[in-house]
Amino acid sequence: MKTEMNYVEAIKLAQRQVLREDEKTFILGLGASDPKGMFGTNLGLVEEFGDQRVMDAPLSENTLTGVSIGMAAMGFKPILVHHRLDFTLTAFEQMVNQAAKWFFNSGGKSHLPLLIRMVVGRGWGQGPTHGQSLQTMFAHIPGLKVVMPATPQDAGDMIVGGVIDGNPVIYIEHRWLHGIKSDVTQPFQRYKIGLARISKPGNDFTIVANSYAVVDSLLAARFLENKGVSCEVIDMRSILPWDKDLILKSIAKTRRVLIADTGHKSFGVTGEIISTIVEELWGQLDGKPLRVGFPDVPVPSAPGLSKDYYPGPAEIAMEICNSVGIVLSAEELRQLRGDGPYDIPRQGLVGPF
Amino acid sequence: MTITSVINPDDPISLYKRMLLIRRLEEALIQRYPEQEMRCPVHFSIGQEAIAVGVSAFLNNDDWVVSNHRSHAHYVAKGGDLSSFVAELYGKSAGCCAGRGGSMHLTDMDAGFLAGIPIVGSAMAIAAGVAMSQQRNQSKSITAVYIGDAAAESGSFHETLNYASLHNLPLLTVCENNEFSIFTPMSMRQPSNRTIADLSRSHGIKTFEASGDNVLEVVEVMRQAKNYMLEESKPAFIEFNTYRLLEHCGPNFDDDLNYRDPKEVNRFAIRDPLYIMANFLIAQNWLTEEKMSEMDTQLKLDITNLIDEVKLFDNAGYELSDKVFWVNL
Repeated sequence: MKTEMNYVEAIKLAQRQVLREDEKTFILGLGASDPKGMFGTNLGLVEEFGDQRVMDAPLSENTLTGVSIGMAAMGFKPILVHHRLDFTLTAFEQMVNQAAKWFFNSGGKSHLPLLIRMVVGRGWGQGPTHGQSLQTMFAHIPGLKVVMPATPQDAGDMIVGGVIDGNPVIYIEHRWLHGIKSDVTQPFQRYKIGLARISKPGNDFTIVANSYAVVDSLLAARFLENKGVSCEVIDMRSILPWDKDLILKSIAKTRRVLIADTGHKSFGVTGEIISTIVEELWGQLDGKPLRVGFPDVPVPSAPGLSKDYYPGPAEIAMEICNSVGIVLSAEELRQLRGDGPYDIPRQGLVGPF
Repeated sequence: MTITSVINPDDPISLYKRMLLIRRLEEALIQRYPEQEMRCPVHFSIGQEAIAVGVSAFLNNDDWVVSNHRSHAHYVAKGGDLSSFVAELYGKSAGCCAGRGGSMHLTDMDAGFLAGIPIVGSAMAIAAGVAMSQQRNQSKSITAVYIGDAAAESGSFHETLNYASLHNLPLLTVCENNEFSIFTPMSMRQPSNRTIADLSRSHGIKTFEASGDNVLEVVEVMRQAKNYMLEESKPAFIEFNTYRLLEHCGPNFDDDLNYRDPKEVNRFAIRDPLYIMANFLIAQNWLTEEKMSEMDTQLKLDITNLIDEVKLFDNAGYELSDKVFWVNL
């Protein structure tokens, strides 16, 4: 059954599905059942499942992670929720030392079905400690898995896939994706973690992107199509593990690549993928690999500071045009940047994608 | 060698036997440690055996234990498999963690010993989760977590006690206060105008304090704590005063470094849990010195055989594959 819905609705319905299907599943976290229901993603769930299945909690991120580990080791399937990724840094001990090593340390005798949802903030001055997109830090840790849904379908399928994966899964949602709409097939199906997808096929240039950068990339690709550059946009979907096969195959075909990531540019996803390209496709490219990411500066708050901080479709298109020798006019760049307020998702960006 | 005897809180000989097993096993490991075949850090429990045995005397197979870096006594007291314990220290593939964890990550799920968690304080949160699963399942079982005095300085201690108190989790926190975090004494870590037990009480948790030297005292306070937990369906906390005989990590004495009062060190001879219990059993005519020595000789022989056997096991082999850290469902 296909229904048009946004990303928030998809998360909510997918959680409802897993809560209905498996009584061992439960949601835990500060504000899990509050009146705003985690940006609407948990709305109505406590009413249907009660406060033992949708548990509000104290502000104790590290201990709640430990509690989730203990529950998961005993066969429960926790979905731990955080309003902002930045707060999970206080739980790094439990995520990195305990959850990530659990299966390994147990000699393979005990595993953790544990899904940890966290939201990356953007806009309205989120600033240095509410706007970080730190997928790289999680992806550095063997034992974790890291997914970043970019579409409503994936948002739902990754809830299902994350809950039954059996490993600690970091599920990073982007605040600006919450309003994205598309047709969604229900019931949600298991997303097998590690698979990327071609969001838009093309022949001249591969754009590898994740999370909100997929939206930026699709807009850039749409623009570039009119300039005669056919871009293949790949939605990574999973950061750890990442889909080397699909991504390298596309690059081998187009012989040109740009990586667009929502994290800081240095020591991150873009660097990892380009390193792999250098290792695996040495000498097969027609141009140097390009990358677009957050500047290596903490996320600023004030309008004057944050207006030009985030790269978008314009920066992606510009990099590609420079690389293939296309000159962009000021008017074209202005169009790509849009003319609405810079710190809320632009109207043109809600989809369907 | 497998543990066949059961610890019965009302049978002092059974308590003594298990303490002796822990002591002799650790002494045998200490003796062999310089051979450098056990290539992992070890934190010996010598001096702290009475707590583990007295606590475990009240734990059934479906009660869980979560422990810390100094976990040998907790593991053996709970009935953890001896062969896979020794094999883990020797880096064998038959080790309880397949050689991946070493002394600080012991586990025996069948015996109800979930894990050693060496990052101080973190075990508490995981234990609270295990306790919450027991509460959800409406079982009458409990989870005991062992911590040291320094855990009280970690955020996890307060977050977990707050959470356990809020939800009335069947969580028993057993604090083994040996006064030192590595070399650093309590006076440099915690204020003197409150105790660790006070912190627990301030979280609204029923809290007991006792000496951890005499296993019979441990048994009595543990009896009260367990009864309270079952009758009230609430968490409890016990702070034991105890003494770590050896260095923080390793098989040696480190008192040449003068970080402890020599009088305290010398006092160990009379506060040694094994010494106290042996004296008691002889004074009460429960055991003769002859019988005790016979028991000891047999035990040492069994342990030697166990270690010799384990040393012949296959060494754990290197495997660079995501199969070792991800389950594939």
